[in-house]
Amino acid sequence: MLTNTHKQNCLFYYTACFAVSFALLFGSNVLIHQTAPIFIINRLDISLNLLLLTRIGDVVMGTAWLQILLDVAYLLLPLFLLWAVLKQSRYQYALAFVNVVYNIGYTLLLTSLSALSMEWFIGCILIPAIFTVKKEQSFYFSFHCLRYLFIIIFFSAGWWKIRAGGVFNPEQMSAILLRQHGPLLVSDPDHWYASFILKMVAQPHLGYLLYLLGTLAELSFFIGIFTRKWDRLLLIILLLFILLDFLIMKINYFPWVSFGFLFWYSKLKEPLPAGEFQTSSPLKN
Amino acid sequence: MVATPVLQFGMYSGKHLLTDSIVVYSVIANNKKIEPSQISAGENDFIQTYLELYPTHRENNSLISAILNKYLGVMPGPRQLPEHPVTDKVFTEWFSKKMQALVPEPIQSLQATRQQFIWINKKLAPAGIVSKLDFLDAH
Repeated sequence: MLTNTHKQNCLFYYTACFAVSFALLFGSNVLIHQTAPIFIINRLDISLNLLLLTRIGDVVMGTAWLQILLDVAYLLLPLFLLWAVLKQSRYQYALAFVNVVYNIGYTLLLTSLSALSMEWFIGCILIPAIFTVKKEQSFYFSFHCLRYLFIIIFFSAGWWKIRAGGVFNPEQMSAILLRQHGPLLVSDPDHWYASFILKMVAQPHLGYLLYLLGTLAELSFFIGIFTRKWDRLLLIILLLFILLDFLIMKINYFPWVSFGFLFWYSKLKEPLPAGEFQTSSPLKN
Repeated sequence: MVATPVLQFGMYSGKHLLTDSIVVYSVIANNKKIEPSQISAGENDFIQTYLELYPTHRENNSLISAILNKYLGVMPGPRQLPEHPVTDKVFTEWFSKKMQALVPEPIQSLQATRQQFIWINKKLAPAGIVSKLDFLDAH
């Protein structure tokens, strides 16, 4: 049964993943104060443009101390939430809500003041949302809503490869590898990693097999809509996908590891409504 | 068009062909090229992305603003989206600071180039001349 202890474990796991993700951003010098932005990279995102209407982007660009404050708050809010949940504070639900709202605003700003991808941050927006509910039963339903949402997100990535035709193109992966690693391949083709990539490009069938396997990995999450039986396997697929994405494409999607708890604890049963005994009674039948 | 947190997760879904040319940007600091193999993947991304984005972002911003203003007409408050012009001088100063982290000695001069390549005979070959990026020129 999904209990408060599991809830705390989920949040602890998320916070640990968040801390690593934050360290990655910090190490790459891409936090807002490290970027010290001078222009906004706009995109066709309604939420972003509604935020920009407030002119907060301009204010942040011109105020160094505000940039530091925003980065520090982004780091501290999940830690406050963890502390509040572990301490069973009555403010934990409000803090979770603040986390969601702040992270939407912060990541919209960060991704418009730098070249980072918004998709990278989706975990820090969606995951804290399940901690806004008070009852264990409500947490159970929120948990499974998020599980379904992540399944749809991951499956949709595979579906797009069918819809846009990438998966039907035998030279897809070779062409992607050239695009992804172009500067290295051109400047230092004898580098060990460049040689490895060039060998893969030269064998489009091998590359295509990888692309196909990646697409199948994404599509395989469809099974999660109907059963939780294969969730641990889906978790392994997710972790392998993220690892290979990093090794072959040099795309680091580590923050998505934070969704892992959804497939680890998914088989736990629904908690009973408050006030009921947790033991089953033959009289009930 | 998306509306965060509703996003489209479909990177590299569209068709890419081996006959497509690719564009590579290079940075030359103090008359010496910053080698992609000597810096991290993230730093490489930074160079490629910003040198590609800078000349187009102003046009894109205006275009996106025009599209969104059409839809935002029904909303209360300011109608016009803010625009964010930035001069070449400001960009060069900012980009030089970023590049300084990759070069041990103080940067005295900084240039950038753009070149297309195509995959031919199992290797990437230059396709066209090397063009200097006019907007970036620090001496």
